[in-house]
Amino acid sequence: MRTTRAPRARLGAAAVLVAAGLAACAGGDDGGTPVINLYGAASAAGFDQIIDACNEEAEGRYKIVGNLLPSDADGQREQLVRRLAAHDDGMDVMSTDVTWTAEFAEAGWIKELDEEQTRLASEDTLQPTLDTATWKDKLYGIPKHTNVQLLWYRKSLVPNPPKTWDEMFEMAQKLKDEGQPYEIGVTAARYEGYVVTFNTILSTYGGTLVNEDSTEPTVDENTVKSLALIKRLADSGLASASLSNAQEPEVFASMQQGKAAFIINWPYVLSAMRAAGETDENSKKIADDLGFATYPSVEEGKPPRVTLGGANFTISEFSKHPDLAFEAAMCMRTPEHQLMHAINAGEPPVAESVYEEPEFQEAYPQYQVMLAELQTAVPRPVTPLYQNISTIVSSLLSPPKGIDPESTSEDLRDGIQDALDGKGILP
Amino acid sequence: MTSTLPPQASAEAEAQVARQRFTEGQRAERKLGLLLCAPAVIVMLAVCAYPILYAIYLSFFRADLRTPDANEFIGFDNYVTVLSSGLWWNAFGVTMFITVVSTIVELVLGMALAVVMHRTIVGRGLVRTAALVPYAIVTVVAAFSWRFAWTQDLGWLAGDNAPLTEQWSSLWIIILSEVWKTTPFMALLLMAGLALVPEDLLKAASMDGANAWQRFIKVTVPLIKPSILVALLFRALDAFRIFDNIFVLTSGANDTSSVSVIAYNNLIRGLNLGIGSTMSVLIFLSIAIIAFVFIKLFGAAAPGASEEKR
Repeated sequence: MRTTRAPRARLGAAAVLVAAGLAACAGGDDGGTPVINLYGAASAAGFDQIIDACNEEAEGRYKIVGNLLPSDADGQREQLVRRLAAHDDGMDVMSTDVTWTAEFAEAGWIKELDEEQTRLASEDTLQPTLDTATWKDKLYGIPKHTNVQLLWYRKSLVPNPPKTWDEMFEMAQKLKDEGQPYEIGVTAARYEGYVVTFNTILSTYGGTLVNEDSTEPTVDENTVKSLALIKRLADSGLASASLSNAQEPEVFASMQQGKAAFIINWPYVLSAMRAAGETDENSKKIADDLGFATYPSVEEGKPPRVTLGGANFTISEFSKHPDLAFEAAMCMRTPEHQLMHAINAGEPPVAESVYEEPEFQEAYPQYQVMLAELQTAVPRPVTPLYQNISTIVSSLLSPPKGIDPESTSEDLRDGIQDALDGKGILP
Repeated sequence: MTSTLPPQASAEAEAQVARQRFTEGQRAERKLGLLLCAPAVIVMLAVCAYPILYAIYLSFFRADLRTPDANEFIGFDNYVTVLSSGLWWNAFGVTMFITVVSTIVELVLGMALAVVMHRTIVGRGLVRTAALVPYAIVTVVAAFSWRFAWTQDLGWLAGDNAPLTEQWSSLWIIILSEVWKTTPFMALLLMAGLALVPEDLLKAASMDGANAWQRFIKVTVPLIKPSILVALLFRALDAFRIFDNIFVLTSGANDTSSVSVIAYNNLIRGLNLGIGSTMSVLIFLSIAIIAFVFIKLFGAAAPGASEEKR
């Protein structure tokens, strides 16, 4: 008897555990305290401390429960979208990528912030990050963290960092002729990161891809110039041979392996290179030699308009406690918590005041460059059909060598028009 | 199909007799039977018929969750869009290629495996169990193993190359993983057919001087043709809907999307219900055509059909 009972008891215990787990997932309001279910962001390093701090501060008015999502952006979006399309009321606050705002807002899945909330969310927040949370002049999200790419270079090879692409090409060519490391690294594989590269160049020329209401493509001579620049990079012999496969890790590696003199990448490069330097002598040398500067512009005196990364907190339309959800979201991104998050998880803050904190400046020596770029940064094309447009851009521009500025821009116009007409097919 | 008339006629005569014998009690029993079936039928209608009809309905609309205000009836426009898209035809070509190649390879290997399993005398159970192991592994888990094995600097099969970043090498790896996975299933179906081949026939053929290959081709294969056809049909339908292997191995990168992957990307990832449903309907039609071709063209020649005539 005993031998048969033991496994059964174990099974029973397992069932109870599973049931308890399910109950915890659902995040019911059994205890009387309204539960605010947070989706996304919760798995970031040290974020549990922020949640705990907010729960303590709430003094029983609400309790934030962090729920896990897949680690990649596409997987996260898929889960959120499935639940939102099913009007799931078990999600309150979501951490949504900056490119999803228009899509979620147009579908009626996230709450528009009212006047008072807009005021609170905009306080001490960099305007460009607010733009990523705006759709049709209404604010739908609370900027959570942001990100901008910088120019990273080798101080020993490049005494004065280039201000423009022209200068960078010249310097790289000179280094190449001297037999020094010379490569220029940018993300140009067929993926989202290539769209970021293209969007920065296009915006710096003053161009856009779709008009403000996302009704028609705005492909013009700026598009042609941007395409010509990418084509020039691909044909110059100054980029890595695997440019068409380069994502952030490859670009980082080209610097780490001492092939690149210039790379364009996110702020994590410095801390990542230092971390690698702890075990690897070569990486340490590179880390000590690493300089940073503003993203190169397209012409002298014209500030670059860098594409924003990052995420916003949004409130689900189907939340049972939208006001508390807003309050909870605001708590999770107070300047103090943004500072904690920037240092623990490496995600830069959206509050201008944090950039003045000595603690932040110590962790991010490149803060001045970042802040300057953030002042003029631009969102990616703001449109509910961003997914399609991003796919069209990255596939039409791949491989970079295959670009023909005139005809590729025509293809872009047709492709975007099709997407806007609901005829866009994703591969 | 005039040749099937006689059995039909005889069936009708039988039915006549059956009707005459139909008493009140039997009628009640039949009613009870229907009632007992009803829940299952209702559930099947709800989970099968309704989604199919709804997908067909949606395929005639511009229906996008991202732009709910722009939804409208557009007739066959979605079909025009999909059928004039290079992406769709590329996916269709990839799917057909995978279906044809993997089904043929599986048939050959599966037959060999079936003969081995059938003929083994020593350790029969062990051989059969071992052969079935790949089929018992969850496809996604197996696909992940293949993916890691073929990842640059990580997998022992890849070495310095990155075969999953190019179209053709990716397709062969997808086929390899598909073949490895489902050959046991093929073998199982074929082995069931082999069990039906009478030993006497083979012995008689042997007496007449047929060698092993001739016995196999002239005696065994015609006798197990119905099994072969069923196995081919099952595998072709399965292979045409290939999704999980591709999703894990390449997620459709480098033009390796199958029709199911591209439909998933548009429906679930892209939220374009109209285009996605159109693709689903087209896949449904393709599968119906494959099944029809198998049953009508090959099925008519199957010995099982002529047996009934005798």
